Parts: sequence; C-alpha cells; structure tokens
Amino acid sequence: MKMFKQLVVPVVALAMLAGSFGFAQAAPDTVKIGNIIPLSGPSASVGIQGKQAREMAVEEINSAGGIKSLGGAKLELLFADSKGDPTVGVTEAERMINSEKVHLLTGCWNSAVTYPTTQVAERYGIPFIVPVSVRDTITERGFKNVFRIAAKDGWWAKDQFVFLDDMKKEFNVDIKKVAFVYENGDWGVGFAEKWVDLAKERGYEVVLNEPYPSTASDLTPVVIKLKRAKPDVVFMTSNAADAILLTNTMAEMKVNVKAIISSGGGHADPSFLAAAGQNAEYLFDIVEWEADLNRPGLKETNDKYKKLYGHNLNGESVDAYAAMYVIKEALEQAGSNDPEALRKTLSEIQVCGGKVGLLAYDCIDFDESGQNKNASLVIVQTRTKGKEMDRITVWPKNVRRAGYTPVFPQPEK
Amino acid sequence: MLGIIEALINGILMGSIYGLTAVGLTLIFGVMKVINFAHGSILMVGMFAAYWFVILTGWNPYFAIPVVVPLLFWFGYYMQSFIIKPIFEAEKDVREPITVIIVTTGIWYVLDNLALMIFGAEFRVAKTSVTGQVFEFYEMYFLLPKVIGAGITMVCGIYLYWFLKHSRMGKAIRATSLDREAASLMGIKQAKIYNVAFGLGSACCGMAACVLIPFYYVYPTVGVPFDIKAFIIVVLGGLGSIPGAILGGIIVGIIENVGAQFMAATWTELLLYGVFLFVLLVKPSGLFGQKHDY
Amino acid sequence: MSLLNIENISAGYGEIQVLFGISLHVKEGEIVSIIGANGAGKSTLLKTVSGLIKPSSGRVEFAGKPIHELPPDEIVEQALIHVPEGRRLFSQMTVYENLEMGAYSKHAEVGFAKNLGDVHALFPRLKEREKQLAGTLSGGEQQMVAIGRGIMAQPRILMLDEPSLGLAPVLKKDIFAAIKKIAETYGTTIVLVEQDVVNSLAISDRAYVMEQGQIVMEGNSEQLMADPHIKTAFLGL
Repeated sequence: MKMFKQLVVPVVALAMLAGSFGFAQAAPDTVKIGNIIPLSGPSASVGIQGKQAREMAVEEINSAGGIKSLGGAKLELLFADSKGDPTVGVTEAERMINSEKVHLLTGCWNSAVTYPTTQVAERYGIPFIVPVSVRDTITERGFKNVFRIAAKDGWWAKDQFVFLDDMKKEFNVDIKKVAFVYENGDWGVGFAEKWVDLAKERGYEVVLNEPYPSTASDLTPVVIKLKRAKPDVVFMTSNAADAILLTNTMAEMKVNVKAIISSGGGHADPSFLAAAGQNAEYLFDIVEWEADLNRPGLKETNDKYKKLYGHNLNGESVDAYAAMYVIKEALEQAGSNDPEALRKTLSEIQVCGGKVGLLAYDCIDFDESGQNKNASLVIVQTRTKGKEMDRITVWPKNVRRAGYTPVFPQPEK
Repeated sequence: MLGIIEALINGILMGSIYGLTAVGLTLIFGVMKVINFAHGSILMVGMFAAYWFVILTGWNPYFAIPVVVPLLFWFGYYMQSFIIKPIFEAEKDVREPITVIIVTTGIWYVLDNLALMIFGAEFRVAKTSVTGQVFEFYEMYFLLPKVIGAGITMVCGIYLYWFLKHSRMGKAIRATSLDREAASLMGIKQAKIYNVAFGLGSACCGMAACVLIPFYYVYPTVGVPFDIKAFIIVVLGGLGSIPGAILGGIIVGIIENVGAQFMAATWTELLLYGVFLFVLLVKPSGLFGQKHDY
Repeated sequence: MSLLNIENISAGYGEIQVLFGISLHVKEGEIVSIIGANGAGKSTLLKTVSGLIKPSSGRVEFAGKPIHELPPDEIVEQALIHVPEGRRLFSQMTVYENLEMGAYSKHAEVGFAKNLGDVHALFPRLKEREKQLAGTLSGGEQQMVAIGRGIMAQPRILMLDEPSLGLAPVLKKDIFAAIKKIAETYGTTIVLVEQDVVNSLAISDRAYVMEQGQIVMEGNSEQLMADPHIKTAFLGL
C-alpha cells in the first residue's frame, strides 16, 4: 500500500506535469494566413478589393471569438504585393512560408501568378486557397494542397457560349462571325484556346483572334483591326486598364457589333465602370457573383462592405471573403493549425450556408483535384442607371433580375 | 487597304505624341550626358497635375498647358538644382556619371511610390470636352485629342528647334552639349545650363501630359510604359537630337499600328525591338545622331 | 604692380599632383611666354588660373582681387580669357556662332560689333567661311576661330595654350604674327604657353620655363634665347 502510494503519486504528478505542457501549448496562438495579391500594377484595384474583403471577414471572425477549437486563436493576415508578376509571387510565397511561417496561403488573382506560386505551396505542403484565378491547369496537376473556390476557365468559356445559344433562341437572332480579343497572359490565352474549340463546335467563323499585351499604351491598332473584321459578336478577356482603353476606343471608333461578351476580370472591376461609363452600355459580362443576386444575407454583407470601402463586393472580393470563412471552418474542424491536418480537412470539408451562402450557390465542396465542384456562373448586362452604370443579372434565366429584359442585339452606334 | 491607311495615320498621330514624351529625355541626355531614369515619373507627375486641373476646374484640358508646363519646368529645374547637381559636382571629373544615373533611378522609385501612397493604385480617367470626340474622314475615324496632340507636338518641336538654334540660351545649351569645358571658358555657367535643360526636358513632359490626359488614364506607374518607349525612341532617333526624337516617335507609332494589322498585337512589340536593334547595328548613333566621343 | 599674380599654386587631378608651388606674375601690356616640354604642367596651370581646376593651395590674384576660388564663368566676366589647348571649337556650330559664343559674357556684349570687325580684319578667311560648320575647317582656320573667340570676349588678359600645335610652319608664323598684332593694336596682355620656343620667345617680353610642375628658370626673352641650358633642352643645339 505504501509502495503503491509512493509509486502512483509521483507518476500521476509527472503525468500532470507533462500534461500541463500540452495545456500551455493550447493557449491562444495566432493562425497566420499569407495572402499574395496584386497591390500595384494593372490588376491593383481588384487586388486591393480582395484585401479589403479578407480584412472584413477576419475582423468579423476574430471579434466573434476566433477559432474556438484552438482556444480562441485569432486569424492574422499577412499581405504581399505580387505586382502581377509570377516571379514576385514565387519569391513572396517562399518568404511567407520560410520566414513568416504562415499556416495557410491564399492568392493570387492573376492566373499567371497563381500557377507557379501554388507550386511553391505544394512543395512545402502548405494549403493554398485560390479564391478566383480561373486557369484550368491550376487544379489539374495532381496537387494535394491547392483548393480553388471559383469555377475553372473551361466552365466560364463554355457558359459564355451556352449563354449566346440561349440569347440567339430567345431573341431569334443569327450569329455567324465571332472575334476574340484577349490579354496575352495565362488567363486570356486560356480562354482563347477554349473559345476556338467552342466556336468550331458551333460552326462560327472566327474572323479575328487577337492577343494583346495588357500593359500596352495604345490599343487603337487592335480596335482598327476589330472594326475591319466586322464580327457579329466579340469575346473579350481583359484587365481593368486595357478594358478601359479598349471599351472607350471601340465606342469612339464606332465599332458596331451585335454583342460584346467579356470574361469578368477587368470588366468586373468598379474602376472600369467608373472610367468607361456609358461606353460600356449593353456589355455582357460573365462573373461568378453579382451584388443583385437573391441570396440570404447578401444585402447586409454588401452594404457593410460598401460602407467601409466605398464600392460593392464583386467576384474576387466575395470569393476571398468566403475563403476566410472556409479557412475558419477548416481550422475549427481540424482543431489544429498543422498544415497536413488542415489539408486533409479542406479536402473533405463541406461548408454550407452562413457567410458562404452569399455565393451564387449553397455549398463549397472541393473534389479530389481541389476544385470546388459547386462553383457556378452568371451573366450580367451593363446598363446606365442615372449617373452610374448598373450590372443586371440576366442568365441563367431563373436568376434573372425580375422585370428586366436583356437587350440583344445591341443597337447601332 | 483603307484599314492600312487608317492604321498609318493613327500611327503617325500617336507616334508624334510618343515623340513628344521622348523630346525631353533626349534634350537632357544631349546636354548633360545623363540618362534620366526618372523621366517617366516626371511625366506621371505632369499627368496627375493635368488630371487634377481638369477635375477641379472642369475647363478644356488644353487650358492646363499654361499651368502644368511651367509647373513641371520648375519641378525639373529645382530637382536638378537640389538633388542631382550635388552628385553631379562630386563626379565632375568622371567620364561616365554613374552615380547620377543611380540617383535618377532612386527619384523614379520615390516619385512612383509617393504617388501610389497619395493617390492610390486606381486608374483615373478625366472626362474633358474633347474626350471621345472623333474626326471622321472617308470612313476612317481619328480621335480628336490625338489629332490635337500631334499638332501640339509639331508646334513644340518647331519651337524647340528655333529656340536651340537662335536664342542666346539655346545656343549656350548647344555649346554645352558639344563641349562643356570650352563652354565654361566662354563664360557659360554650367550649373545654370543644366538646370534649364532639365527644366525644359520636364516641361516637355508637362506638355505631353496635357496632351495625353484627354484620352489616356493616369495611375502611379503610368510613366513606365511611356518611359520604355521613350528610351527606344531616343536611341533610335539619335541621342540629343530633337527632330530625331519626334521622327523616332512617329516611326515607333507606325510600326505599332501598321504592324498590328498584319500580326497579333503581342508581336508588334517584338517587331519594334527588332527594328530598334537593326538600326543600332547599322547606324549606332541613331538616325540623326552625331558620332560623338563621350 | 602685376595684373596677374600667381603665388605658390599647387594643383592636380584627383590624386595626381601636377603643379608644385608655382609662382609667377604678369604685368599689364606684357607678352609672357611659359615654355616647357610635354607634361610639364603648363596646361594645368592655365586651367587653374581660368577656374577649370581648383588649386589645392596657393593664391591667384587678378587686378588685385583673388580669383582662385571663383567659378570659370565669373573669371571670364572679369575679362581673363583662356583659349584652351586643342582649339575645342563647337564643331556642330558655324564659325559665326562660335564667335558669338566667345562674346557670351555680359561685359563682351557691348563691343560685339566692333570686336567682330576686328576679328574679320585680322583673319579675313573667317568672314568668308562665316556660315561653315567649325568642325569642317582646316587646322589653321580652326586655330584662327579659337583665337577669334578669345578676342570676342573683350579680354584684358588673353591666355593661349599651344596655339601653334600641329600647324605647318607657314601657318605657325601667321598665328604668331596675329598674336603679336593683337597685343600691339589693343594693348591686350598675353600669356603664351608653347612648346615652340623660338617663335614664342621671339614675340614675348619675358618667359618662364617649367619642368615637372615647377618653374626652373625665368628671365627676359633675349637672355633666355642665349642661355645654353635652353639651347640644349629645347633647341636641340
């Protein structure tokens, strides 16, 4: 009996001592999230909006008590400016992982930057959430650490053509010739490749296939060519700066087509609408989200964001916002900030409703390749509303804004 | 065929405006033998000045010229006087003033980042009374601000040429660019000439800025693409030659526009560099350049 | 009382010292030669006087006022004019424009027309070639323009650095004759730096001999012409 006491007490005491170390480590830590996005250069305005959305989400999450399963650990955001440059993205990822010791990464808006930067994350086994960045191949490399919320560009391109099919039917208009005008980076080229196949399937004649450098100081030559080609429909993929130049020049040179279908990106950027104004009238844009969608909680969140930052949410900011909530859910479920545990949780998790319900669909659910299988898209048309430009959801028909009939084809200038 | 003519004329119009941005650079190089890497940033400052002038007064953008051009002249004059000159003096005996080049690069970064902090990264477009107005001619469309811009470039080019050839200060500037020591011995104050040259170069940027604002957007790093083109133009046209800068600009504009009719716009940049390298191989001092031993 | 007083001047280029305590003086109306071999430091001396180089020690006084700390343009304004070695014309400017540049300083503006007339009288060929680019002239003509530029500056002292260098003997004679004429007609004080000892001593009143950055001999021209050291060193006798 005495021996038992003499043995058990020290053992229990030792166990408690050892156990207390475990408790000490469970005290609130911060979970570091690295974000590599363009804060300068042609995509800066979208990058900054993404930053603002992340900050708003993290502020909400932290003031609601942080990650409860980690003892109230707070999320900490670190930002790096990719400048829209892939080499900078890669260097920053290395720095964030090795020096800053981030637990997760998100980014990078520009597909060309996301592609190599996610490779760095994969190499180090750090989970990387891609809110937008549509280039298909980002989730087609057999990587385990890359998770994308938005739809792939193959889906975007396909939907643009399906939309056109529906418009032709609805308004009884014939389309024969199409033109492709796109920025010559990863993103634009990715779209163009799909467009060529899709056009071939439907028997359209491609009268112009024109890549151009996004940073060009003068895009008049492109517009002259476009005008001469006389297409029925123009498909465009541009960043904000070039979208502004092209749209204004096309209006000035009176380029008359039946419809212009753009691919989000620069055309969805508020600064594009502000700068192009009425010249953007009747433009169709495909996005994965729009502020007039009929979704629960959307209006309140958008109003809060608009009050803080002065403009509406858009595709990138909404996905970035949702990404923070997905990260929160994953951390809660994993109960750990260990990268491998997080990765596993992310691959299995299904995040529905709540703040994620803002999106045009109900749940975020990543398949084996890391692609969110529920991602879907909508098409909007730009119309003047008083002094501003309004983007009105028109397709799929079941989410079209009540009382609005799309204008197709657009009137002559 | 009409498409090519339209492209050609557009090339000449836009090219002259490129040339205007390059004139300042070539002037500064010709006189001071210094490559001014801050040139694009000075253009950016001019563009923001013109933008704010238009936004705040709502007047015709060309009324900004009497405000922005002198403003930039003094900006450049004092930048030379207070920042560049001390470095220059320290390197007086050195044949290639490398430190000065580094300083101008530093000014470039500082100005661009200051603008980024103060104005933010967005693209701003000023809606002016001439914005979007088109000039139609046989089914070819030409942007009115570009036509006016090209006209202003020609006037500036002629004025500068006259100034350098016939005015006392102009001749002193020419003398200094030919032989600065001999010029000192004529009683020409070197420091003053450099200040004036830098001021003039910056004033040219100011003029280019007023010409660009009616149809181009402004943002903190807008100087960079123009700067790169300006360097190509300056080398193409001959370092220190003002007609060379304008002609070089027109050539670049034509290559960009006409080239794009035959190949994707992506390739016209390559074509441009190709032509540039070719000219350098055949006539290294540029089209109008002199064989100088610097 | 001298017009130009150089006291113990030391100067050089960066780390390399060329002048070691030079002292000399020039009286108004004199023609003084400074002779010496290549590399003796003669050009450096003139550059120090005209302000292109700052001396490391010593003083230069012109008309009683110190000038060794003044910039070149202010020294020119005082009518101390330096015609540099190798002519240094503005090659892409015309003969006329070069002469115009000579008269750039304020004090020279007044007498522009008269000085131009004098230059044309002295060098008629320059009037013929007025509109020609200076870089296309012959060596002799270029030297005339260089001296003409000096005259246009309305000099009180004219310092000429090797004006006869590289010219054919006939032309040399013309140049020296012109210099003598300038001194006689206008009373201009002349400082003549030369390697051509015979011709320069022939037109000067006094001379200094420089060797390796120092004055090694001085005296009036006749004395020096007869000096055996000079004869061996410079006249090859």
